[in-house]
Amino acid sequence: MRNRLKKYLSREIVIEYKACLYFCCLLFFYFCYLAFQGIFSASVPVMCEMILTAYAAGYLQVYAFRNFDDAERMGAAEAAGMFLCAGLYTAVAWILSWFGHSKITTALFFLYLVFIYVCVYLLNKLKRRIDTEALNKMLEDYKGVNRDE
Amino acid sequence: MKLTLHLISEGEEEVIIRYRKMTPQVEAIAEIVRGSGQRIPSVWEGQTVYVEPEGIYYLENVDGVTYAYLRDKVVKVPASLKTLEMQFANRGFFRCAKAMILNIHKIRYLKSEPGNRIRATMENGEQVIISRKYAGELRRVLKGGGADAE
Repeated sequence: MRNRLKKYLSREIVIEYKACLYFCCLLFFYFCYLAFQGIFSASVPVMCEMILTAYAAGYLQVYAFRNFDDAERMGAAEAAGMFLCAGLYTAVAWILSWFGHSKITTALFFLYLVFIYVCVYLLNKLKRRIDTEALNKMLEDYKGVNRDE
Repeated sequence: MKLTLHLISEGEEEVIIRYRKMTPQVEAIAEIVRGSGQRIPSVWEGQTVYVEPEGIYYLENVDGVTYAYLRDKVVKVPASLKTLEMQFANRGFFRCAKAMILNIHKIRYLKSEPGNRIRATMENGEQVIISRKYAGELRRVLKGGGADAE
């Protein structure tokens, strides 16, 4: 029971982290879109919609698509998840008119999201590679210390 | 068993064991004096053998029975994982799962895995996944420099 609760909480934290990360990315695109139009104030309802969508995509990503941005390899299932989540954001953006039903902006938004997902995937991979090096260094040090004793 | 200790100022230190019958307790004391007290009494093909902890790759509990995996054989150890963990924690033995203890000195390579897990490749090529729950503890042990941390 306790382990299940811990597992659940750990997944929730992962979703929370993803929601915040992708919300920041959504905001960046949204602010750029507004700035290009010479608008320097953002809509609070749109931002609320964005964070809620980020949470929904986070749940989808973790529970249905094997947490693809933190996967070891980008296989077919992970790529499908990535395009579906990007598609979800794009569909919500279109339906809720985040970019005034502009086809070009919405298409750019989709490409931007795919780019972001790929970047996060590569960064996570790089992070693990650095961590692997650090782990093996610590392992060697540990063995060295114990050999000397 | 009566214990008598004599403090000497010079000469070689000596342990004399006076026994009527060789019992496991007497045998264990003798093993300690011989300098092999840290060997683990185990059962292999029905015979009692003493295993050097350094030769163990990992210890695993299967259906309540503890097994020690050596380079070329598997022996049964009549002790619980908890006991062995406490006994050999300062010799590089680390609890990597509920039912498994790894010998850190027998790890060839560690790899960081998604979800903060760690994949350990042993010197015999076997791979063990260390869950997030135990991965943090492994990092702590490795950072501590091993025996110094204990």
